[in-house]
Amino acid sequence: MKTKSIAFVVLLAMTAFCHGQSIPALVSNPDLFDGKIVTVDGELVGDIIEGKGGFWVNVLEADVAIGVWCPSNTREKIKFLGKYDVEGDVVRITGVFHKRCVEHTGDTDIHAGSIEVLKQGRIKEEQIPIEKVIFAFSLGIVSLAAIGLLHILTRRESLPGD
Amino acid sequence: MIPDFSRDDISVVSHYLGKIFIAFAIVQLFPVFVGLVCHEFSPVIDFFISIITCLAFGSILLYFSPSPQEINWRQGMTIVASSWFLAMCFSALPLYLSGHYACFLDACFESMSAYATTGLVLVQDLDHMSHAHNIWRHLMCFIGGQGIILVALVFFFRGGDALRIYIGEARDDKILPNSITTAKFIWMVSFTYLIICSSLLAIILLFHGVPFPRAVFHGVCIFMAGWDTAGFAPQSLNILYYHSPAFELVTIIIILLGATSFGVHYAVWTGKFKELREDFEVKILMFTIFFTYLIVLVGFSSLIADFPDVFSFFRTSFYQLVSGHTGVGYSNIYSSQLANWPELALFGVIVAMGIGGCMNSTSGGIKVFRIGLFYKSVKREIRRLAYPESSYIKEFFHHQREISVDDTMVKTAMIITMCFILLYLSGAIIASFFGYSFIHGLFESVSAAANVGLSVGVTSPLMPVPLKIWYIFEMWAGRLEFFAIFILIRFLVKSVKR
Repeated sequence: MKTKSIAFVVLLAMTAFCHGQSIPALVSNPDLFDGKIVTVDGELVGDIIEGKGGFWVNVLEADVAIGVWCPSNTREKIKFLGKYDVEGDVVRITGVFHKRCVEHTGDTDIHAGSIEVLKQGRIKEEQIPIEKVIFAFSLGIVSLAAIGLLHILTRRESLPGD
Repeated sequence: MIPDFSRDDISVVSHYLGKIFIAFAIVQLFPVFVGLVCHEFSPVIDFFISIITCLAFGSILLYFSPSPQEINWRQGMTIVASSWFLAMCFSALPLYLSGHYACFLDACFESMSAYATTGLVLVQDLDHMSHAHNIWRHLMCFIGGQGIILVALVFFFRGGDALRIYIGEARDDKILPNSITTAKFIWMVSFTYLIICSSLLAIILLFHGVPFPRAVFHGVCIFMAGWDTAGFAPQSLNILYYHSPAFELVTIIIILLGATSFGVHYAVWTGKFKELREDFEVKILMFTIFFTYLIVLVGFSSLIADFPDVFSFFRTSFYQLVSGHTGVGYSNIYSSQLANWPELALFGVIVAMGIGGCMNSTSGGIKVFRIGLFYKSVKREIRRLAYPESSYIKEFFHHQREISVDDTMVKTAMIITMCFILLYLSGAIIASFFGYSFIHGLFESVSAAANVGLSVGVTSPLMPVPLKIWYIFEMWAGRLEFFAIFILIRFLVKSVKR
């Protein structure tokens, strides 16, 4: 426990010296950053996946996501996870990047030392483009009229004696 | 003299296409239901547009070709090939309207990838896609894996007609006496596994603290794409998203079930468990998994020390191999990491993907049956040469019953195998022309044509348009195993000439 606390304090102290990396750069060049302290910014997306002594969140930047293993005590910092109708919290994560994590059977991940919420997420109001509604409505009317007409014509043609 | 396509042919093809499109409109009610439940109204409008378009198209076709006649073989093949192509176009409509695709071609690529159970994706910002659109992507995998025609078979076709279009969809197992009862059996098996396996996946996610509705959603999506060896996932990280070896283990079981012939499923369902041990295809599948994994192991021999432990190495390498071999394409690593695998290991995965799963399963590729048949025919020829000329040499294999290897069977298998090899190479050459390395081009081409879906990063919204079009063709041709498409092409050429 004591070792872990020291490691955590050292990690926090080192945050001042480490540079921000983009998630696509980390994923494309894992050898370059393996075992190093990295700082990434991104939106939290999906779900929280609980594990032993912590939990997973997935951080998205430029359409590339990475799994971040967080200590349980950071759980309350997370309010919104990005989905269709939710804009997730934008966070800055500082932690150790692993190309193949020893603790998590080879996962590529970041073990978060600190999580800072840069911008809190929100529930989005669904935007329905009015042009789409008009188009759908018009298409519906025209198509149903055409289908009805074809149905009548088919029935008339199949009447006996015609 | 090869008969020309007549007006009657066009009428029959149009009539059944009309029926199939009405079925498509009905199927899209499921994502509408999901959209309404999740309060996603914009996606509901997208599906409304698509449903109306399918209904109108189907009604027009039915009006102009009202009288159903008996289908002959080439009409059956033409119906199959054209329905798959049109299904791609129409099913792409709601995807395109979702705003997650750069252009309509990308949406078409995705829908063909889903129907052909490939799993290569061009979707953007998948993590913010609506549940309705996402379930539609996975439902397309479920429909395509069983067969688009198989959906319609249950409702719209008569016995004799059914057989002719059933075979057009690269299926020839007559599990039950007729094609319609076989289709019903396949759907019954699929729905039973859907309930069992989705529940299992959802339970694992519930243990990981995922809320119930999301756990069920993920379970259903992953089952549909896994059982149908498609490899789609609801999140951009694919299987890596779940960070759970237990979850991955269940997906391996699902994909192995999906890659097993429905004939074997039927045998097991009817209590003949020994079929699992005796079936020739199952044995060949186990052997080729073992053999191709050996290639991967040799490829990694100098790099195993890079992994934290043996389990991590096994988890990474075996998962990609089985996923590739069965044609699923699920991945628990990034495509950029796969691209950096040693060339021999990549070659091992390419061979596995090229071979594919069992015949009459949801897998693509050459199929282990044909590899086994090739082995048996070589063995027969060697014995023929070794024995006196007057000897009558026969070679048998067990595939639900004892079958003797005959020359017609071998010839057909070899023609299809050659077509697959040519298709694999063509994609690699075209990718090389656009500046990709040959090994990466070959990997992606085999992945597309064998309907796998693993990627080394070639497939992206930014890849050249001709390559997207070629991959669409590869997925389509690979899924239907060529003949239906050759007949459709001939039909179109004849129509244009006339």
